[in-house]
Amino acid sequence: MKKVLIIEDNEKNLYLLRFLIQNLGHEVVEARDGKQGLEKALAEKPDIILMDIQLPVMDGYETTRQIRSHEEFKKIPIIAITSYAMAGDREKTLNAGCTDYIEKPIQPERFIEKIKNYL
Amino acid sequence: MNILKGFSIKKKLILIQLLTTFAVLSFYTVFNIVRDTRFYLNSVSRELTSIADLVGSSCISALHFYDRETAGSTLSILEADEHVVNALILDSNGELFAEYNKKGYNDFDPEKPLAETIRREAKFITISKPIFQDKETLGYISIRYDMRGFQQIISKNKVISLIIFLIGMATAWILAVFTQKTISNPILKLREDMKRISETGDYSIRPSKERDDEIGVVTDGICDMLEQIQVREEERARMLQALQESEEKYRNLVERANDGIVILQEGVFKYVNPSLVKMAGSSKEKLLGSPFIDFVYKDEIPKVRDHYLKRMKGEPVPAMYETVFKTGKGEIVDAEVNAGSIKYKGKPADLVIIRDITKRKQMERELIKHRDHLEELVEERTTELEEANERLLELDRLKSMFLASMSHELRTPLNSIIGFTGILLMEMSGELNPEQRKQLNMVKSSAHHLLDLINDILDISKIESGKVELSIETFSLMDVVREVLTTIQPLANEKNLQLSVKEAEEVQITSDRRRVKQILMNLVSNSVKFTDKGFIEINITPLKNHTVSADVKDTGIGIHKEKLKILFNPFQQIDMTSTKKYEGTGLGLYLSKKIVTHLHGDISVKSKPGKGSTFTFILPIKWKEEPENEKSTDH
Repeated sequence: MKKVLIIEDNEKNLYLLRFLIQNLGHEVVEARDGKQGLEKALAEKPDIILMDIQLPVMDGYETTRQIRSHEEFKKIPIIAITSYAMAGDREKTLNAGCTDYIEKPIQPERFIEKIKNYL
Repeated sequence: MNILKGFSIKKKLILIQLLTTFAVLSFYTVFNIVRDTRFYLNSVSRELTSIADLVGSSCISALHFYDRETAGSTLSILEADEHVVNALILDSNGELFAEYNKKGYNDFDPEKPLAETIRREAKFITISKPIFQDKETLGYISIRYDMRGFQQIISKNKVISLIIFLIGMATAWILAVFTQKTISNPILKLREDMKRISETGDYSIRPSKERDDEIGVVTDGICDMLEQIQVREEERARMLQALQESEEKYRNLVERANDGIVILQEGVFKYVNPSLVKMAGSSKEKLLGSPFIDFVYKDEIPKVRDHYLKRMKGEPVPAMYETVFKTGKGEIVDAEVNAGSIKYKGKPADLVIIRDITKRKQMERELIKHRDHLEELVEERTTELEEANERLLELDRLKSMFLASMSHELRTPLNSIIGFTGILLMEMSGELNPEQRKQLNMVKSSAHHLLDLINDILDISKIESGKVELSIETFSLMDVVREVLTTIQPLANEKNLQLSVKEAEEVQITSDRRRVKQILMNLVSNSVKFTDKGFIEINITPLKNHTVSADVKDTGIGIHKEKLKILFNPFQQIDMTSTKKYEGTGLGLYLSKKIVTHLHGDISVKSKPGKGSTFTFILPIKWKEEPENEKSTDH
């Protein structure tokens, strides 16, 4: 069982992601904005982070950069949850330090297939 | 000879001949008379001497013996000679010894000469000589001879000589008149011909040549001269005519010109044409002789004067300038003046052409007014347009923002719909009965359709507002094709369609991977959508010009010819009634075309209804910011 930090401001999306992760048998830690996400990451030390990009207070890029700036998080998988609307910014997520990305809207079959690689 | 100058040749010739004859005859006559006179005088002298000698010697004995009587009778013998009028003998002392006096001649005064003397008087000739015997003077003899008879002979001779002289002169006259004709007649004839030519002016007349002498040569010379004169005369006549025609042409031109044309000398009108008279509102008589400057509007006088003075000094001035005139009626005339120097009647003058441009000036002023007004209008409009443009740009920004945020907002609920539908279908939340599964699949399909629509609209709005962000990288085209095939394969399988890559050239291209995939996906899914049986075939072929073509061939329903043109327009899914059967956004081809253009490629289609379609899209192997052939492909 792994500890998964989900940083997502939308309640329904958060619910969906939590449902899927818990259904796969893993522990979920939640954060609702970038700043909170950074704090939770430092405090909880998760095994994997699911990072929404459009976040209040501090966006996904900045949050990723800050998490990555800590020595213990250099190799942790950070999966960006990107929107099709932000297509041009996809490279930006990788440049910011994300390991991979999953497109919104989340299609459960594909999501599970992809996330299994990191769990 | 100067006196002869005024005479005709005829008279001169006659006169010369007469003078010559006169001189010869005069000399001859005078010579004759003198010679005759001398001859007679000599013969008389000789006769008298012999008489004196004879009578003297006869009287020697008488003197010797002092016999007066014998002496007297001896002297009386002299009676026989009618011309001897007096004879006397003196003795050695000079005393009268004997005498004989013819009746009526008693006035004889004898001399006592020592030697023989001959004394000539008006009417008489007297010879006196001593009478010698053995060198002793015995006495003296004197004889007087009456010369009147002799003078008669002389006179007769003179008359004869004169007659001969006159006959000679008359003959000379006749000869002179005759001979002069041979010389003067041809000259006179020549003169007549010349007179005729000069009177009639007919230079075609030629004097006839009748001789080969000097006059003939002169005639030839005159003929040559006439030839030349005739040629020149004809030339002159032609020139004169040309000149007249030219003069008439130019006079007409000047007289009928719409422009005022004047000739000035020392600033005064010397010639004015009717247009100028009309323009000046005056009469020709008043204008001629009046100063030009009076005609110039007073404010313009310095300018006109300055131009004139500069032109006179030879400084470069424009040939044409504009000024203002004031007519006799006080009207103001705007004029264009063109002045130049000419010669008029042998003196320097100015030819000035004056064009009335009052109307033009008025129109110009109107035009300027309109132009100024127009400029204001244009400025106003420009401002309005700028504002409108500003508003439009703002609207466009708003539209893009609206579309972006709307897409985002629309997508957020779709996330839940698609996500939870997926969870339900995976039966993670519990088992489903077949009806529930069927209905949830419908929800899923509709949600995906809606998502596609939203994504296409967002793409189009980005492309249309020029906000396309390309992500250029180098990748394998075949990899992309394989990805597309993996995605589409389940759909093809559902319809029992054969989906394959026929020609699979491994080509590395530099372009936007996601966009290329989007286009290929669109084309292949379209083919699957519109094909019910048969196959779909993909070919990747490198072309010349560093391009690569990807074509998608199907055995689908095909497209009508007239529909091909509008195929790439938005919302042109071919059969509007068939949208239910072939579900789609209607934006796929339009979007593909837009994207291909941004990738500097091209997309085209070939199709036969009922047989199938082939979509081909061509991409440059290396995408560049400004492709070399962009301009040519635009047209």
